Amino acid sequence: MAKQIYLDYQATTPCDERVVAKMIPYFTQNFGNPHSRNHSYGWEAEAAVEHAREQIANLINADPREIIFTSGATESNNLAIKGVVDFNKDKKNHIITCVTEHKCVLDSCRHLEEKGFKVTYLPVQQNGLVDLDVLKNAITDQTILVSIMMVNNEIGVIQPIAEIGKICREHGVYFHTDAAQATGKIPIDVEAMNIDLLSISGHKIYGPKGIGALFVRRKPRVRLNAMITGGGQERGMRSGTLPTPLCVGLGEACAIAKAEMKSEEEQIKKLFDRLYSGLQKNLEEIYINGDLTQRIPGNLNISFAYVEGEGLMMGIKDLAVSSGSACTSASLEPSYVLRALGVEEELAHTSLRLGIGRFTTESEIDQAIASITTSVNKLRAMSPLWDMAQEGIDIKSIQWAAH
Amino acid sequence: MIYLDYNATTPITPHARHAMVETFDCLGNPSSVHAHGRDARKILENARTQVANYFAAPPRNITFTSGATEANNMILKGFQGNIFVSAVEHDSVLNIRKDATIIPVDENGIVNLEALQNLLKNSTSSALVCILAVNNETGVVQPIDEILQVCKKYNAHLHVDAAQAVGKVSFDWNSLPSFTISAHKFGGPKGIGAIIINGSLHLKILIEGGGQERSLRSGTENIIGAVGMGAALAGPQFNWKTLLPFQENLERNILEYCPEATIFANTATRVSNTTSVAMPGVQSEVQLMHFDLNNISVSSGAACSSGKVKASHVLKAMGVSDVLSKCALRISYGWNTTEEEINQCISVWASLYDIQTKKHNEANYG
Repeated sequence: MAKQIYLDYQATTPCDERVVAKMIPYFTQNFGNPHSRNHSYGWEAEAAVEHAREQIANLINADPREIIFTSGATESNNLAIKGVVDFNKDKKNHIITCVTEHKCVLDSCRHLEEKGFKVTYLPVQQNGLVDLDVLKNAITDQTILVSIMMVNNEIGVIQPIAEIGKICREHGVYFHTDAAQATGKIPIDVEAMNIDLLSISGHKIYGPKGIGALFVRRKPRVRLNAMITGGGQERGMRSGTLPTPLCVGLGEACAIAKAEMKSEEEQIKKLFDRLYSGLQKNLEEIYINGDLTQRIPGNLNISFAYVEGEGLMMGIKDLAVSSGSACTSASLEPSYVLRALGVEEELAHTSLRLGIGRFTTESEIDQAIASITTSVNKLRAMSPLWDMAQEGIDIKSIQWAAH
Repeated sequence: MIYLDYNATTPITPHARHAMVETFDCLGNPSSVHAHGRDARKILENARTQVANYFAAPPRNITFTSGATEANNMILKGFQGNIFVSAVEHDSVLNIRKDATIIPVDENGIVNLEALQNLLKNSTSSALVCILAVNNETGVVQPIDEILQVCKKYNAHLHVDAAQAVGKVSFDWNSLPSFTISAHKFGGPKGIGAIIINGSLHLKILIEGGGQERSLRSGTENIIGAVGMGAALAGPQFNWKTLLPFQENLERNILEYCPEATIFANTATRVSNTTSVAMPGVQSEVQLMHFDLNNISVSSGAACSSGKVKASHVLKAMGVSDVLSKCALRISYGWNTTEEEINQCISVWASLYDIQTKKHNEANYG
């Protein structure tokens, strides 16, 4: 079987060859422990790690000392939320997040709820964006932290981060943002955006899996309690030997992203337009999920009415796409993100997340359009609901008999 | 450059390197349902099976983590009850639970079994005992079987920190209720480790989210890391016993040259790759500098975050005076080490001792 066309860049991205090339020597010749302070093997490894830290800091306008390496964005999100809340637990007890956050943010918050903290889960508007007035009203004198993701992993919408940051700063509340899907794709400035904590993932930005970072602001200083204690690495916030090659990989991925962000965005936007307009031209009753303009071009989340979701996935076997976020997609339950947007269950069930990235080509997009068009048409031809809709019957008015 | 700091980290084995480089082309997320994702899942599970086979455990007993530090955190923070750790544990274990009771050790750093018995006998609630199987500073091997018997007798859970043990000692791995490993100590990459639980044990879930690793450890899996660890364990195994002549040669020559030198724990059972030696009257920092100038990488003890050379808690627990332990040097070797490199290490050690004694004599008589 020919390899599927990869259109799942939100689940993971291929490691860029340039990143791999930088990493390899640190697996082999320069294999020292970066915490060995007594010899040049250790110093070389440490210098490489510190260079990577600078590259990461540069991408988000931070100070290298504000970057903590972790095993990935999931750990970063857990550490940011649980760590800051735990440090401030004697003073305050309230956290604000949003219903469309990644599972690891929601699970961290639920964990804190079980421990007695109050959590407000902000709703989103139909376009997937947080209503700033609702956020403002949710903040109390007990609020420790607001955690709102920068770019949604399922629908690709960009939250109004600078505005949220401003509100948080005005109210003296810490602001954490999960930027796993945003880093390297849109400009980030932790100063201008008043971000206190920001999570980064390596494998979402053409770097390796198993590495991530957390930005922790120094001025004004954000303090948190570590989850992993021990040797006291990463300023005591995260113990454990740093994986030099993975740190180098993340740093290089950030440097490449910074240098190429603008041209890459243009290139991906072209492919996005080609894909969306191609599907629109071929198919009726398709609905894009999430705000039309406030989104990254690498994500097209789209619902196909009158089509059965699993059937569609089976029909487009030549495409590697996702019907929800990867972590939960095996369950095939309708996406909680789409439901939060008010998307009807049937439409949520038939949604595809088409992820476009650095290595996507025009011909791959064309094949995706052709494949999706064929499958949707075939499934609709078999669907009595589609016939009825064509005849003008409102499907929702039908009273189904129980059996 | 001569690398004699294998206990800090090891080079990656060719087998592991090859397997990892091949995996760079695997692009899927193991949790994705499409073919790319399924390929990635297969590779990850194959790595898990390799790890499992090495330790004679079913694959479901293996939980991947970012390393031994995280793994030990999950074990020690998850346990409800009394925690007992030996006085010579790795810093990462000693710092996890401040409420842990310290088990004393003898002059070689070996756990005092009688003291352990008494502690467990008097423990009012359930107990977990955490023991570093092979000491990172001295290479001393703990009598794990005997410790296990004591733990069984008092219904305590024995957790073994096997970071330095893999490959170097042969345990009945599947008799251990739980243990943790770190790939970069045995030829795998940094950034990956595992918890192996053969009994039942409640873990602290530190990282929640996507539900990976049976919800014990969320986050997209470090596939390349897992592959490197699996390959290091499944590939050709280095026979650490071949280092015994190196150890013997190194220590004999040092003692012949300077009978006042101390080789720590040299009467105890040790692994074949570690020599912890004190040069009388010469501070560790001075020795480290001298070795570095002569292009040899050694260490004064654990690679830690501060970079400061402080008196070792391991040697202190063994009853070594602060004065002597501040003169300690750890030399640790492995599969790429040659006889010639050991000889060079001996002559560098001797030349420094010469310089220092000459200085000393000049100061006294000059």
